[in-house]
Amino acid sequence: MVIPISIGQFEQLILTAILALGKNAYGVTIHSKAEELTNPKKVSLGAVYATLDRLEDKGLIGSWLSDPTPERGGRSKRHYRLENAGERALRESALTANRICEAIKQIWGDALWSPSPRK
Amino acid sequence: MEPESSKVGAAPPAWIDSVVRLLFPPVAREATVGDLWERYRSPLQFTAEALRVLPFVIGSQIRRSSSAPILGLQAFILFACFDGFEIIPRNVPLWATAAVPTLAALLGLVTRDVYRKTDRRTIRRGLLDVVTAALCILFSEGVLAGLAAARHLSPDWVLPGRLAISGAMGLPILYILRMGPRLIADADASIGPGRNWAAISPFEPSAAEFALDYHEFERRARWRNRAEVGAGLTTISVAIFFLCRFKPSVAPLGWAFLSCYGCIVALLAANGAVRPSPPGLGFTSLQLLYIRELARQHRVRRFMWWWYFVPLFLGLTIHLVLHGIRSEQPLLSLLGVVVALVLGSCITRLNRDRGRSVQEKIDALASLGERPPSLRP
Repeated sequence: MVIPISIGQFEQLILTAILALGKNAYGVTIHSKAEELTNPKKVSLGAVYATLDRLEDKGLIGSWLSDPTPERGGRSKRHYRLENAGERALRESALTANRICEAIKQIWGDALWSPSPRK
Repeated sequence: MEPESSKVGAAPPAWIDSVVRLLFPPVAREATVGDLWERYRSPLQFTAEALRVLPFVIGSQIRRSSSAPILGLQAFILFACFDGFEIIPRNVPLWATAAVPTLAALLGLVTRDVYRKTDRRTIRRGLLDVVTAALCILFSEGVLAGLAAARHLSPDWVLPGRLAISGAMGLPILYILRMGPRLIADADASIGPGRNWAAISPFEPSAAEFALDYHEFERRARWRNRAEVGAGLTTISVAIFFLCRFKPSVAPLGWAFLSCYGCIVALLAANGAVRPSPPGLGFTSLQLLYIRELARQHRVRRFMWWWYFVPLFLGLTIHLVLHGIRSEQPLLSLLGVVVALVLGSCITRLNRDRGRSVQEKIDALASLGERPPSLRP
């Protein structure tokens, strides 16, 4: 059995953004998707780059450069994709998050999903 | 998912773009500056965003391009050469005087690593690294001397002449330290997880291709060996000059240092090169020779890393541990033991990291089989 690499919350967020964006996952879109997922919290673009580098070093994502485009001043986009290890790590994180939700739900019920469940 | 809208056709002023491009490390420049262009709304927004992103990109590059044990050992060797471990009563303690040029050199080397275009290590690049470190040391000392001349600082902050020469002794060791582990990695990189035959071609190598690859490994290892012998001899020459010219109180330690480096140079000259493959060697025999030589090179280097730092262990024992015992300062002795342990752990980690990558390469080599003639492209 392969033990997935443990990842932090921000790494989960970035992996989720890459998964959701599919072939269109690069710095700008990953940042926008991450902000959408953390709404209303803002996400720093620099933190996204640092996390992408770290995930790549861990072997969870891979990257490649696309052709240059004029709206980017003739520069290429660095596209990202999930590697098998990244998919495994994300799946494991999602399962853990689901178990946490179930455990909280047993106490708070559906109030878990309201903005302030406890007075 | 579309990115945040930006003004159609809008672009940052050329001079701002040039400055931003210059600030970003080359490895991340293309994609990051492109992303910033795509998000461009105004020159102020572009500049502010670039400045906010830059620390993260540089931080990430530092993490990627610097190795903690190598950085630690570089700091140790420079600090020791500037006599930072010497405890003598002085207006400004020697550790503080030594810390400034050490930090300046490390800062220069880390910056150089961050702004490199490729990760490939060459002998010339190693020399440029050492020149960078030397220039950073000179610059920091120049600033301190200027401040001391203007009476803003005590003149004790500036390195005395003898320490400037003993510091020069550290530069060849710095070269070996920066180039040694990486050059070995480069030398072995022809076959390995990063660049193996399966990645280059769906076929296994033929015996002739394999022999060529071994020849390349042998050639790189020979150059690396020459460079290390040259650096060792330079260190010995500077050390002899230093000992004869200044006759320091730690002369016995100095001669011990010299004898260690003499042994290293002799070991490298006698045993450091890769054995050439006899002509007409078959695929399996060459495979065995390759694996044996990789393992032997690793054993020689692992042993050498300890040898390189023998003088430093001796210095720590004399300057901190024994001095603490003599002057009844147990904390000083304890500090000496802790520093020696940190130094030992840096060497162990360097050897362990190196051992792991060599083992991966040996495994990649062991898994190879000769390509049958019918499958040749």
